[in-house]
Amino acid sequence: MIDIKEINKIYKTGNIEVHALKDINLQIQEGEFVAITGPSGSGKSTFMNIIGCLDRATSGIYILDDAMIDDLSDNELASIRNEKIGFVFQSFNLLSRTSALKNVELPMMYAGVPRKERKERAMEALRRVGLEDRVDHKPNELSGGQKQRVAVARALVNKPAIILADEPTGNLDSKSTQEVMDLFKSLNEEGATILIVTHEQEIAEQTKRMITFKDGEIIVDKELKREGNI
Amino acid sequence: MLLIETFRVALQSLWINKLRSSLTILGLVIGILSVVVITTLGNAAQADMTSAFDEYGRGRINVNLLFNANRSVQYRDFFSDDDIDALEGMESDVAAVSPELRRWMNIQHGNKQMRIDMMGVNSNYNKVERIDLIRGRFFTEEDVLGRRNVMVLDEKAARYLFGSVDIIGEVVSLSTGNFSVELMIIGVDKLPDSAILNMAQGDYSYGYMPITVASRMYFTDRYPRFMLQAQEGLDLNIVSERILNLLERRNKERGMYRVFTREGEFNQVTQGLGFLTATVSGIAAISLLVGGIGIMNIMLVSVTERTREIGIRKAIGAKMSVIMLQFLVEAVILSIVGGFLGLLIGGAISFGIVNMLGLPFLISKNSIMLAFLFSTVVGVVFGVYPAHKASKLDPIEALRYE
Ligand SMILES: Nc1ncnc2c1ncn2[C@@H]1O[C@H](COP(=O)(O)OP(=O)(O)O)[C@@H](O)[C@H]1O
Ligand SMILES: [Mg+2]
Repeated sequence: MIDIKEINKIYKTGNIEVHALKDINLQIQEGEFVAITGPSGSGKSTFMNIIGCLDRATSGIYILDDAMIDDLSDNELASIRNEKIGFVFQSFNLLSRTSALKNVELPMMYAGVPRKERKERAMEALRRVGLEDRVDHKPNELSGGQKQRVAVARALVNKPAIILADEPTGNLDSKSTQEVMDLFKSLNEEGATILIVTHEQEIAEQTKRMITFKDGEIIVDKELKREGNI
Repeated sequence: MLLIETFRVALQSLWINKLRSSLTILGLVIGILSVVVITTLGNAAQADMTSAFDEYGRGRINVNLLFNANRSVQYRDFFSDDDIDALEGMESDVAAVSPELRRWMNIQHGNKQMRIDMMGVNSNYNKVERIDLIRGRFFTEEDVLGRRNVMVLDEKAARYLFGSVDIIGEVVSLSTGNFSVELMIIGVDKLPDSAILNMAQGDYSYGYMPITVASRMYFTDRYPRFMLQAQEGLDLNIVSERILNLLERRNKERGMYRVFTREGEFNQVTQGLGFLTATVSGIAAISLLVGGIGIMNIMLVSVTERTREIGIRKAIGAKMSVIMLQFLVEAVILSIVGGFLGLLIGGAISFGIVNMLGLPFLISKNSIMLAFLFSTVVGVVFGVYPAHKASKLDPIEALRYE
């Protein structure tokens, strides 16, 4: 489903060039549950942003569901993000003065889903993450774990091809971390493709495949469990 | 995405920042408000003057002897009764003529006295000037020919001297220099309807007496001025020309006279008023510009402040056009609400003022449309740049923004 060939990312800041990704080759199939680990600055976020169509590679080919992402315009990338990708960020990135429900409705709003259906599906998604009694709460009235579950609900509500989570548990205590991980696990069991960036070994071990970055290169790519991989 | 949706989102974010939103539109509110007040007052004044003109003086011509012409004034330059008769003879042009002898006099009744503008005129005068008596009658040809000591007083003087307008048959004494005469009041003239005329007149008062009585008081049977009502529908310039021709045939030198038409005077006044209104509203319109810049300023602040929000929206799939539209709609909503409030408050203020002055309240559909159109344009013009800036933000950088 994801096919990456010879991807490079070079950041230029004035005269300084940072080679953040070096000739990355990778394939991810539908239904995979992948942990991406590696030291800080190794290129994990850069990689996730490219996968998530938030950023473009400097060179290389990225194919997502038969679409050549490199050829697409900014607006087409916005549509891809809307339809095929669900993001979960370390810092939640919820709209602060907007209720949980409205936050979850947001991707559907940009997809042009009618109001009534939007609300129903948002309620359903919030129920899925166990927050049906918090729909009218604003982010500042929710705990970190609850906020991240709202973010997960928002990520899954448009039924994306992949859910990308960049250190989703980085700001959470261990109890909330486990809640969010359990959520990802069950979503994956239901068929969702999930990529999680983490530097915690315990979290990585709960996934089915672990990819380790170092200095912009993949140094380890191993399967953790036999079951589930196609 | 649907426009309605964008509209709802925009309203939400404006509502969240209520105080700021209201302060933002304040400039625009004041701008629209001042334009509305000024134009309404200007229109009211113009309408008042126009209706006053329709009432007093359409088709009226005054001919005055010039005292500052090339040569000094001689006895023969004044108009005689024969001249007036000759003018009256121009029946196809002239409906009525009256000579006028006019002087400031002292009017006295009991222990009350005041200055009054006394005009000696003939019985045709009420066809030349609109005389609107609330009591009694105007003087007749018999009063004039019989040199009867009667007069018509204006309402203001009547109320001042008598505290009432029911004064028919009362006698007042008038004096100028060392000559004085007792006149009986036979009529009371109503104040003009025009609030502006009344205001402009202040405590000015006037009275009419038969020209024959005035002649005797001033020891003259020659008049420096006459007023004339042209026949209906005639071009006053042509009539004026014919009058001057007639006077010329009667040995009057053209250069010694000045012809006034009320039309000319009124046009000057209303044109001046129109120009004044336009100029002052033009100046007020500058405050609209300031209001627009205020909106742009706040929208720019808002874009910077909401960089992260923009990042989130983009990450989730908002296209550039959607973000652009969202901020543009916010700016337009702000400006339309500002325009609406300005219209409402401006309308209320001008209604109050106009009512107080007794002027007609005229607010045209056009000016309402114009106010809305203008504020929408202000919103679009000053909202485009911030909205464009928002739509161009890079999602990753926007998400990283603290
Ligand atoms: N916008 C940027 N401009 C310049 N350098 C960047 C930018 N983003 C990341 N980098 C650099 O690229 C490298 C990889 O960063 P990142 O992908 O964020 O690593 P990780 O997420 O693994 O910590 C780092 O050296 C970082 O400094
Ligand atoms: Mg990172």
